[in-house]
Amino acid sequence: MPTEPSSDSSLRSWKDIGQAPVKPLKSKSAWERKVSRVLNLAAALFAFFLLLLGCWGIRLLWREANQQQVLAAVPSRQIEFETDGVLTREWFLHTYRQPLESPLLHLDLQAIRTALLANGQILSAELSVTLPDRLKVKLSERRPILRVRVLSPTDGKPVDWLVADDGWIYQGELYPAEMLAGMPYLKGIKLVRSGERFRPLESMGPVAELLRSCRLRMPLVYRTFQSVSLEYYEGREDSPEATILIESRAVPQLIFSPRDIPPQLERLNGVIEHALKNKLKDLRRIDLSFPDKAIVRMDQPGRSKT
Amino acid sequence: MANIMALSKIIAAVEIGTHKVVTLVGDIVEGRSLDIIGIGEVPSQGVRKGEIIDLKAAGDCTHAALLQAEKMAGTTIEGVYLAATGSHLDGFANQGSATVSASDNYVTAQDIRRAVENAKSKVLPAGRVYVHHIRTGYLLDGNPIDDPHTMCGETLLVNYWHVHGDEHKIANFLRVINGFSLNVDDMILSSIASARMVATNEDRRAGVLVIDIGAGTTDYALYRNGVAIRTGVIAVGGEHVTNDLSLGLRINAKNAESIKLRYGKAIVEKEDRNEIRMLLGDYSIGDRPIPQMAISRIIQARMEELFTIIKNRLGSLASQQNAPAGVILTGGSARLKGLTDNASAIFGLPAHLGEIECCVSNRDLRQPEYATVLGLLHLGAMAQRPAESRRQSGLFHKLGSFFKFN
Repeated sequence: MPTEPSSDSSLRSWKDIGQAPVKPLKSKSAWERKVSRVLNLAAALFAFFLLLLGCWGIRLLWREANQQQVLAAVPSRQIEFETDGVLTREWFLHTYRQPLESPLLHLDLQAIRTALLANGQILSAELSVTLPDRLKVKLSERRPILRVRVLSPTDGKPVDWLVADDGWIYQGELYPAEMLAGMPYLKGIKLVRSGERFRPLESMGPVAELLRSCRLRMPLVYRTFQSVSLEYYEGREDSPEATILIESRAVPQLIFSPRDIPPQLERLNGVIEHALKNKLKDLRRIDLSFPDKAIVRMDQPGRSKT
Repeated sequence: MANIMALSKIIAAVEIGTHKVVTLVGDIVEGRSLDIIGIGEVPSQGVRKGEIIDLKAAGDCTHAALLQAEKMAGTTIEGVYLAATGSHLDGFANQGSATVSASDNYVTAQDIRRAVENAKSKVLPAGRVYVHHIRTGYLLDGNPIDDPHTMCGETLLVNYWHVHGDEHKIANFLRVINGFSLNVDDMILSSIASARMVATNEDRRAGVLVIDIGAGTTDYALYRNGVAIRTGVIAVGGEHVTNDLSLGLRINAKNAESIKLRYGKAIVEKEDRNEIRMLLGDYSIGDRPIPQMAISRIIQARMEELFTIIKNRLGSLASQQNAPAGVILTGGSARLKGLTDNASAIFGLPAHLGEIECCVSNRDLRQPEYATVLGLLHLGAMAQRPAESRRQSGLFHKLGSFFKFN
């Protein structure tokens, strides 16, 4: 039988009596109940946390099971996988799961090999079957030396592909992130599409040698490389005027000739030592493409040294 | 399953009595069955004649009862329906009037509202608050009607029975409940709650007087046309009978209570003359004979006095014409033998002990002393809105109740 609360003090009902006491009357039972509710809430939160943990665990297990499924889908056989690069056995089994489901005697090794070689990362692939149940896969992978920003053939979005030392351009899989992050970008060239791929670049040998030599002999300098421009190289590789331009954080422009790399690196080393010794910080360009010379341009225009 | 869950409601009813504190957590299913899913019963302390005299003691025992019921129910009580009793509760009849405003003399909702406001506008003395406004009937041009809306007439009268009580005494009860981090959703007179359980709809419609004799107080409600037209509380109950026996027979209270329970009769019968009862009943040292006549006389006198007080308060309303269904007795002290005869003799009306049959599946609770709290539960369920019924069905509540640190 509800009685409506009244604002008129003379018509007050029991509902006008406040139910938020200043001094709450706490008994042992009331405290016990409060503690119980707090514990219940804590347990509920813990259960929720366990639920989330469980979901995450299930997700991990599912992925693991998926991988196991991939392995399990392959008929019981030993698969020896060998590579000189970064690809793994699991990658191979996952990527070529379907063809591998066939019985060993019926495996189309040629088809698998063709598929492997179609992956630009793989330079060569050898597959052999040893009965009753052994499949041997030996791969040789390309070595990436540069990154190149392209528009993906599938969705048109900008994406980084890799340039190998033999000029092949490919997507690349399973490379460590820190390795890719330290790789300079390729600039100053025009890529030609070939289906979903790009036509390989020609005459990348000298570029690869230059970068490899820098990485080995002058690793600190190599780490500062940001991009390699072949604007004055591509198409005129045999010309004496062909140069390779490297942009770096230390010296904005380093110009090399594609020929006789080692003496150029020695001259570069000499210039750097001289600059360090004399505390020269405003080097803008070092041109090492001339024989027996290193032309250094400083920051102030018109001021250059030989 | 979804349909069943949608029709299930969980509510809690609390009666803080002089003798015991009872908490029931109930599950009303489709309005047909009342499943008691939690019971808490603790001997009362700090309560005298239905009023709290020791807040801490009353709080401790009430909280213990609430906790007991909650643990059994396995759910958290969010709100409470509380029984209101105590001799501070009083009532008065008031009539409101309104002239039918429409030119065609058809009664509108505004006319009814004006009449109701007029009826409720009586100012209470300082320190008093309204507990109930019970509309007892309409009169349109002097003719009693059930619903005056769109009826034709000139003068609309509405009769109310207003119940009011001491603000501080009511606040004490609220404070006890609030101390358990609960709010009182509604407060209902004990007599009305009891009547809900022991009087049928037909009884209440025809006219019946329900008397709930507790340990510290006796609550009564006179029904007619389905509504309580008079209510009252008398600060006399079973404890007073015990005191009377203690004084009259010169025995201690414990023995007096024992005698009352074993041999108590509210009416003197012929065979009582020769009956002798043993005080302790085991013939041990201290045991002595007590005449049954003495026991019966003492109890009869007290109960006659009680019924006479009620009869005097009701005046001409306590008649065959107004209460053809007679008198229904309930409450823990109503079990006294011969009480119905006593009541019948005083009121001149047929009297019987109230029975709780419907809606209570738990047989142990179908006792007179639980009539109030059961009625409270039932009334609370009827008042419960559907949106509130799933307050306790949130995820955390369900998760929380799954892990019971009780």
